[in-house]
Amino acid sequence: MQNRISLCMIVKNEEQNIRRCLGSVGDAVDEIVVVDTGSTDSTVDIAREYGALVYHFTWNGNFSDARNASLEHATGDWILFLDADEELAGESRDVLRRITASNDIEGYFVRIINYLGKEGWIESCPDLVFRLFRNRSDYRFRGAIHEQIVDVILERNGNARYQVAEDLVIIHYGYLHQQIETKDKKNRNLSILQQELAAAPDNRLLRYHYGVELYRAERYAEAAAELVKAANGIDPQTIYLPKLLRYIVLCYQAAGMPHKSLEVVDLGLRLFPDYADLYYYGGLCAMEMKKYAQAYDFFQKALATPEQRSYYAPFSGLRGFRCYYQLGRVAEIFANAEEAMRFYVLSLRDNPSFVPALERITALLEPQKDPVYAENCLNQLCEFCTPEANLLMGKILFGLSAYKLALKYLERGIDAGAASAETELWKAICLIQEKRHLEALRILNNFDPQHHLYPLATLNRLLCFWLRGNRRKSRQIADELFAMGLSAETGAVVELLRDSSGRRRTRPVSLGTEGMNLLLDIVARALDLGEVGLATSLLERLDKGSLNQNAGVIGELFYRYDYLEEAERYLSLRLDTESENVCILSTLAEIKQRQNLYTDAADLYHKTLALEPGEPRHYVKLIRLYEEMRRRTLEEARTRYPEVPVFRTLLEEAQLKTWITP
Amino acid sequence: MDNTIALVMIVRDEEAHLERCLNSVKDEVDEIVIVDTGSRDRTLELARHYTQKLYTYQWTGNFSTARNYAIERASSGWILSLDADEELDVAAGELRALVQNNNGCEAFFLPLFSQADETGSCFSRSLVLRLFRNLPDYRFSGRIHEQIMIERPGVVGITDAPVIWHRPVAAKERNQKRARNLNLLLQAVEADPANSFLQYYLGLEWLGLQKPARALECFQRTCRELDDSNVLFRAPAVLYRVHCLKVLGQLDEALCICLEESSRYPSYSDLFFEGGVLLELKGEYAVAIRWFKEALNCGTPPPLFTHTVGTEGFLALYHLGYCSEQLGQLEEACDYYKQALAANPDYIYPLYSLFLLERYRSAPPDVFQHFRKTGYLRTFQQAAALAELFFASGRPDIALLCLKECPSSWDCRCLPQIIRFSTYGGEPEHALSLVNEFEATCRIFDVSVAVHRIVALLLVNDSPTARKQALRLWRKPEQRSEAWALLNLVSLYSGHTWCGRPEKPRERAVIKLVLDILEDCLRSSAAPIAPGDRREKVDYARLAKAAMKLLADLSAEGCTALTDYLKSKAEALRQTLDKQHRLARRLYK
Repeated sequence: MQNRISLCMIVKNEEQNIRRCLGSVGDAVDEIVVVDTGSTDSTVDIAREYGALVYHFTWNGNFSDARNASLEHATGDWILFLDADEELAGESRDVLRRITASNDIEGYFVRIINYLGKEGWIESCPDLVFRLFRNRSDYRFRGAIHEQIVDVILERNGNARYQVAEDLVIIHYGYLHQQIETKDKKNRNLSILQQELAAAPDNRLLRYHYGVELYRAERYAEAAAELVKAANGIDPQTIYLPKLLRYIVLCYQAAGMPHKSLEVVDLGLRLFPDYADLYYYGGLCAMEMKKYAQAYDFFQKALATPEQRSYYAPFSGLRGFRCYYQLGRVAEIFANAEEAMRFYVLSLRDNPSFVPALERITALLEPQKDPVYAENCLNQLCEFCTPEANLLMGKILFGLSAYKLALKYLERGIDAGAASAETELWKAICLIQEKRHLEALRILNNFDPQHHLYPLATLNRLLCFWLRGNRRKSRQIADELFAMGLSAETGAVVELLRDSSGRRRTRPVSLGTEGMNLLLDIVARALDLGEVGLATSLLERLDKGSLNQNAGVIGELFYRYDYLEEAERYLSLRLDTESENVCILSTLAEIKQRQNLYTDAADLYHKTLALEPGEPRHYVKLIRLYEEMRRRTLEEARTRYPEVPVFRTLLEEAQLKTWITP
Repeated sequence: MDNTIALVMIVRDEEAHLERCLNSVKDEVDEIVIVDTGSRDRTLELARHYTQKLYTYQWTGNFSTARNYAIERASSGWILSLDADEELDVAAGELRALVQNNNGCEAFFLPLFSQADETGSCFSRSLVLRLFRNLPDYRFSGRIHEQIMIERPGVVGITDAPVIWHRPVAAKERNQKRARNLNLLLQAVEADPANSFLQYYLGLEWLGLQKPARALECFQRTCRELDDSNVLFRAPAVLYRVHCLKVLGQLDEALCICLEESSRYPSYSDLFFEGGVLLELKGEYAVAIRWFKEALNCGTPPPLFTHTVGTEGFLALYHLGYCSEQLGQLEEACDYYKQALAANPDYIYPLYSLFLLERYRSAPPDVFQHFRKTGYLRTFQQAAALAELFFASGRPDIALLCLKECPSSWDCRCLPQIIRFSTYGGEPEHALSLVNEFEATCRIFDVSVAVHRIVALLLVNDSPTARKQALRLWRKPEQRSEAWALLNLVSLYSGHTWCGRPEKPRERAVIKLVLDILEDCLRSSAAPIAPGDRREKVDYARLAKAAMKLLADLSAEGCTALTDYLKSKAEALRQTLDKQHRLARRLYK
């Protein structure tokens, strides 16, 4: 039997892509048929360059018609169908020849790898598509969108056999581009599918596509309903069933019905017990429902799944970095920083570009408290060889108020030539926090008054002087700022800074959210510099309402910088009006524990536990408190009763245990 | 035919129960015959109020001859035989109607209910032949576990009313009788080695003496030798056989017997229930669930089958809940527990499990409202159990609400509890006024009330009075340990030092009391104070600190007790986490 192969394509304005596509095919095919649906660029010329036979087809809104037009012109024994933004992977050309030599196969499912390409962070998402089949006059595409030919061939030829050709690989770029379809196009697709579905209500596949389209249009509940309909009574062998199930899970989750998702996950896993994506999304749903142990179990099982089958179309990272990342989150819910760190590191190892893991790792290292240790760890974990990597690290550290270390990375990035106005501003802020005022001012003075960051730069100039107690300069810059025109809220804060001596008795200031956020930023910067007096002097100018309202956040700030007494004062103030605030109770408990007031701490932890019985971290913290109390008692007992050796043994045991889990 | 009825009893030292028994039946019989076999208490004197037919009989070590002696003193047409620790649950005229419409029966099996556990909510039902015509053939035989032998089975009827209730026997009393019974039985077996019934009773005694291996042999013989015409014995013997194997740890053998016999007795719920319990012990929860469901399907077994009430209902449901919980099917578990409670509100255990499940999912006030609406606070037992649970989980305020919901709770029985909840529920002043009420109305001394009073006085910062009360307690010699502990607690709480070690024998009691106070203080602190509540916060943490200091300073034993206690606190929290998060145990172990 002959095996001449025709490559068929439909194109429109693909000059960016078509060269890559045709180049990849090379001489693996005997004929190239390109149907152009109205290009206005050089697509057609490029195609001809590669020896393609180009035909024109007037677009009628129906993909199948266009595709079939290309089939009409094909003369080969086999049809290979490609889109312009796809290419044939290198090794696949020989495969193509080999498998078309077979006598008894009517068509092949081939592997397609979708690149959701963003630079530096490439995610792939493999899937199976039906793109290679025998050229017969009655094998024609059907369906206005999501054109299909698989079932057409089966209808025409009941004996047709298909195979999966795993080593024939198509690479698809610009999946991302396709995702960002305009709303109009989505709606248009939806209405076309609706019409088709009205004509063929029993067409499962059509309903599946309709459901997916609804999901893309973010109409999740409707999507779930359609997809469930498509899945009811389906043959478990159906090739798209795993994807369909995953879509249902995603729909229910997005529709805020994680319990329904979990039901589908359970069902799906009975059919496909090695399907990582179902475990992963099961884990996410369980977490949403605060079933943390179940989530933990799901993620562990996702990790344990074997290499995924192609028709599962697995999303990337669900057996690796994403899964590890979620496990890290679960560990944090159990207040287990050590395990969390372990998981985040595993995540980052699996995908060094996965920023969320890097962010959590950095936060757990507490770089603001111990910059040297944090830097050592970070440098061991990652190679910061590009300026972008250094800037990214700097930005993360800056967000965590770890100015000293942030400065280092920012400088490296900037020195390597990756500066922007924003990074310059961050650097200036870091310099202020390092008391390198002159350098900071040099940067800040450079900002052009027309630049959108100019007001912020000016405010930081003001802070530069205010933090040093230079009242004259502060006033001067404040006036400059006022001259620029400020919002009422910002104005109120600047007013506070201008007049920070407090000598003039002024009316207490009331601030809204915007002003308060700014003020808290400034308070945090003062505390970071150890200027408790400055911080307090600002807070004292607030009126009672604003202070009470924000006493919780203020207290947390003081706690972060280890001012325990002030923290306790503000937190207790908030507790007076909001006695059941779990965060505040929990922080207060930590403070009491650090002050060795154990029974008070126990008291407070008990309250958090009673208020949020479903949150494991409260239990874990209380467990740790009791263990600390026990250690203390043993320590005392050891000195007081040296004749009783058991205290020493018990103490050593208890201490050993703490070293393992700090 | 003569259808008059005589109650016939043999008694010995039964002053505690006799009246209750006689009162339950005196209006339903025409004649009462009581034969005393040597009482040394007021039994005879009490009996005299009910009958003139009182006889004494020289005890010969043979129950049958004594009973037959008594029967011969009766002149009525029917004999009702009861023991003093039994009562007849009978509607007026019911017994007479039964013998009048006897349908040719000459004897009747009556259901006997006896308590199967400590809570008083679980009963087993068996059949006993206690009502029969006063004919010379119908006489007891057997030295012990005497039976009426009736050769013609056609004349024996079974009735489901009236019912005999057997009072639970105190453990001490039971053990006293046991040695005597065993001897009698061994003699009887020696005289009649082929008697399978004696083997059955012998098995029971061995079981009671905690010799399951010997008991097993007896029950095996009973099962082998008796056929289903004696299902009255064979059925319980099967269950006991399973029980013995279970105790001996031979779970698989036990399970085999359940399987084998369940095809022989397909509607015997007890058998399926036992099978379920065995699988549960083996950790095979999913299969256990199938067996318990089968037990539910059985319904009540036929009357001849000795039966523990509830194996076809609330007991099976409770275990279904437990197994579901173990499998992580928490919704199902809740459901089963609820069904169990609906089926028998007096059986309290499902309430504990349900509480723990609900407690983990919602805030205590919501749990309380939920339980209130569902009606779990209607019986005193349930209200008291829930109160204790809420208190234990740090909500004495809700514990109080539970008791307030139940109308019968404000009496002397429960005031000490209410005083405790108030003391630790942020209302020590209220507790003190309740103490006065208690003393005025109840007029009994309750050491827990005395302790709570002193604690409450400390909490309202009235140390002088607290000290005075502690000294008063000291004057009661039997309460010296408590007094010593409280005196020192008062000292430490007020910032003074303590006064040296107690006498060695008191140390344990002291440690226990101080630990109790520490525990109550630590758990009570979780009770929230409403926003804007200006009431001064009661400082439990300070008292807890004093208690800890007292234990640490007391002695090495005190230190050990304290460190053990702290360890157990941490462990208990881990176990609570286990309830929901066992799968993620790695994260908190």
